[in-house]
Amino acid sequence: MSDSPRKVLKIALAGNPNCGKTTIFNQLTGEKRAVGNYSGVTVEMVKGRFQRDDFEFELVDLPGIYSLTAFSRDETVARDFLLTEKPDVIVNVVDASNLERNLFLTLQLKELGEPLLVVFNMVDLARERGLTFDLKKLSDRLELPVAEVVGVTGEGLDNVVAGMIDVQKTGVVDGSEGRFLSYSKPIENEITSVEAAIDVASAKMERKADAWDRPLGVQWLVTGEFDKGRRPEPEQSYDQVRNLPSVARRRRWLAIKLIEDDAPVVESWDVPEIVNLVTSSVERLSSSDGTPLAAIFAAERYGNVRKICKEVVRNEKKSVVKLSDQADRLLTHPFWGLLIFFVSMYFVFGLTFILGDYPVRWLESDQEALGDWCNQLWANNPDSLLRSLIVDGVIAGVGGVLVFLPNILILFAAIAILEECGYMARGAFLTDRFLTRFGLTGKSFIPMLVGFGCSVPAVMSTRIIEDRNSRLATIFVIPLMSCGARFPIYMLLIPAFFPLQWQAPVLWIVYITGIIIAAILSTVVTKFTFKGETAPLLIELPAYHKPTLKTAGAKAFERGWQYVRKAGTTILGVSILFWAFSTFPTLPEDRVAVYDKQRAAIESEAERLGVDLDMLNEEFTDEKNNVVESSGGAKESEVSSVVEHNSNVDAAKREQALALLERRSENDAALSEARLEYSIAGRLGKALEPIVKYAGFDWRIGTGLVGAMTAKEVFVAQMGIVYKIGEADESSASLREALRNSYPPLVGVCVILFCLISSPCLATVVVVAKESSWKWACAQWLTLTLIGFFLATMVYQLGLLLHLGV
Amino acid sequence: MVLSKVERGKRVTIVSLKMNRAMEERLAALGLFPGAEVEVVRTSRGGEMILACLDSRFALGRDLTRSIEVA
Repeated sequence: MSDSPRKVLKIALAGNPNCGKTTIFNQLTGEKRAVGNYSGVTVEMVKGRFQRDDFEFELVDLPGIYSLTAFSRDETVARDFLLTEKPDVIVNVVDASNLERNLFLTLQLKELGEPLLVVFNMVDLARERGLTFDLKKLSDRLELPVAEVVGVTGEGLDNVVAGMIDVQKTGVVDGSEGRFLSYSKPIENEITSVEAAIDVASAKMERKADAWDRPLGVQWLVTGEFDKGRRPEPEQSYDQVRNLPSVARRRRWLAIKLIEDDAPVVESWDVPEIVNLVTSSVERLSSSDGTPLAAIFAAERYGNVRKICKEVVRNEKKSVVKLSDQADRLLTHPFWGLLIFFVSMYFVFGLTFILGDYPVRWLESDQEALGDWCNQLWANNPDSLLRSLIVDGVIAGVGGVLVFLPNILILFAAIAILEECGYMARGAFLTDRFLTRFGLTGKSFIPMLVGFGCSVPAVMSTRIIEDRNSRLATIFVIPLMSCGARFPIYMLLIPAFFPLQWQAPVLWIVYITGIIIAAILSTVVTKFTFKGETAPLLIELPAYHKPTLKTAGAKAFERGWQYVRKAGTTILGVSILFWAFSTFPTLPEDRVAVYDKQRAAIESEAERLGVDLDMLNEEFTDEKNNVVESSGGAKESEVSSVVEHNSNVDAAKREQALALLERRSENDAALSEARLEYSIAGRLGKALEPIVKYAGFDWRIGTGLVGAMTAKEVFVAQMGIVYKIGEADESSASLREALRNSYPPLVGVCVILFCLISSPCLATVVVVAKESSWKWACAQWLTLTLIGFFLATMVYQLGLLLHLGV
Repeated sequence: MVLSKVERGKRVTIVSLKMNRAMEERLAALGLFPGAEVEVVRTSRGGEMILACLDSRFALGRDLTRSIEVA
């Protein structure tokens, strides 16, 4: 305990979207976090810690923002944090290759009057473009400390850390606010007079609790913090603190925001003397064409930025056609661009299937081996409940989900690469015309694409859509973007009912169907709920850069890990719960005895023949596994190959033995079915059967679909349990076969359709409720479930009528 | 004239923005304010555009390009 406690420094990282802020965050904290390359990927604030010297740094990575207005949620979140959390140092990451627009934010951060460090990033990229910088001059003109860094390599990070410590020590350097930072004369005059008015008003308001208690009111002006309910301290009157530099800086900021008509500030200061003065100031400054003053301020700030850049930046290669622009000529082309876009999307899914198939097979055999190994532990008592719990509940449940992890990893890696290289934003541009037609915007594209991975982060990422109506409409249809958790369902069902050459096209059709329904639904929702009022597309297209496999891998790993964690906790819990549902109440002894008696009879018959059915079964299964998965009709040849294989055994006897084996399996299956029918799940499924039978579902599928309401992937686990009880073999190949033998393809199609559309999972419902309202979440759940059921019924009845796939 | 009518490759100066205030402020923050110069990088039949402004590229929906007056 000799060390004195380290001083904790609260650091906020602020900067434009795509300025490399998150890379620097990761470099500093060592935390691996996904770095997206489209605007607003950092909607949630991520925190990280690290230690250096005597300091403990507490880093907050703010959402990427362009300015400090309260325009979008990202900006509001970032601004609220900067205004009220009082970080010790604000670190403003600036992209050197796009200096003007980045410094625009810097000037606004400076106006806030808090300790600020400018981190000059991506110098390497800028140099490639022939730009050189005079950083000493930049620091001088901005009246701010500047640290240079190459975020990707981590070069110069020590300077950043040293800079943070320095800035924390010295605080705000009060410069002369010279010609590089101040506004034009008329504006400065108005700012001064509004500042004076704030002084007068503050002195009057400081004792009034209601005035003190406004978010950006007197309390904030005096202390820089806001703590609702904190009373003014009687010994310090406003007059005593009004000349403190910190108060003066905040007062100036308030005056600017009042003139800019910034909503939260105006609300906090809506006292007559200020409102009147500001109104007349605004009138004097306004131009005839009605440009808002905020835009005039923006133009002036850009003017200042330009003055600074002229002195600081030297461009050695004039007018280089950027590679990025050349690529965009093709990639954003209305026809070729769109074609490439759709082909690349198709390619992503093809890759997922073909490449993912190999590890899936390895995993399946591992899982099978584990199940077999566990079964051996209970060789003497195969009816043990614990065995059933472990093998049929835990291993089958989690394993059945884990087995699809390779596919999910590949899918996410592909999406991450598209995100990172900057192609996503182009997708938004290309799809905007489509999407606006359906009441959405190009910005809806990103959340919807993320929705193919998981609805939960997708719904959260809709925060990048400023317009509330577009946002709600996007949220509403996100679950129709078939998520990663539904993927196992398709992976189970599609190979079960379709031959190999049809599998990829069917999957593609499933995804497209979801998109088409989403388009129809969003049109209807926007038209009738929001009367067609939505905001237009406005998105930055970052310069393309080479995606690093490391980042893509990290992101795929992160998302995959999220999936596993979900599979490991929620799904395990739900699997066990459903195992219990499908096990209890247990079938009464006397009914089990009937099946046992029959089994014993079959076995004694086998004994008379002189064959061990278990051994035969093993051989048979081995043989089957060696045969490459093919369509259902291959059984005959499998049987004969087994027979040929064992030449010592007489063929006729073998035939008889196989018949016995089949009878025994049928008896086992009948027992399983009886058990499940007797259980809670079976009863629930049965209760639903009269309704779901119109869509071609029986009570078993009904049971699975009930499970899928909690989490989509549970359907697979549940179907596994439904069909695996009392069986040793747990590979999903055998489950597919069981499904194939139990249902016509038409039912398979209806199940896929229903799973695609209906009932977003529990996690999604909760997130939607949090992001919008419970009313919206419930409306969505009901609408989607009803549509799903309606369409499945339509398809089933139509299929029956036309004798398709029955 | 209206921005959406401008041909690809042309450099124009923004004269005025005719949309709701929040959107005008947003465009101004990105550097698209009256008096700013932009280059039209990509046009499309629907009116969507890619603009080059400072060192960035922005995609604008047709509702926006039809509400920006340029010269």
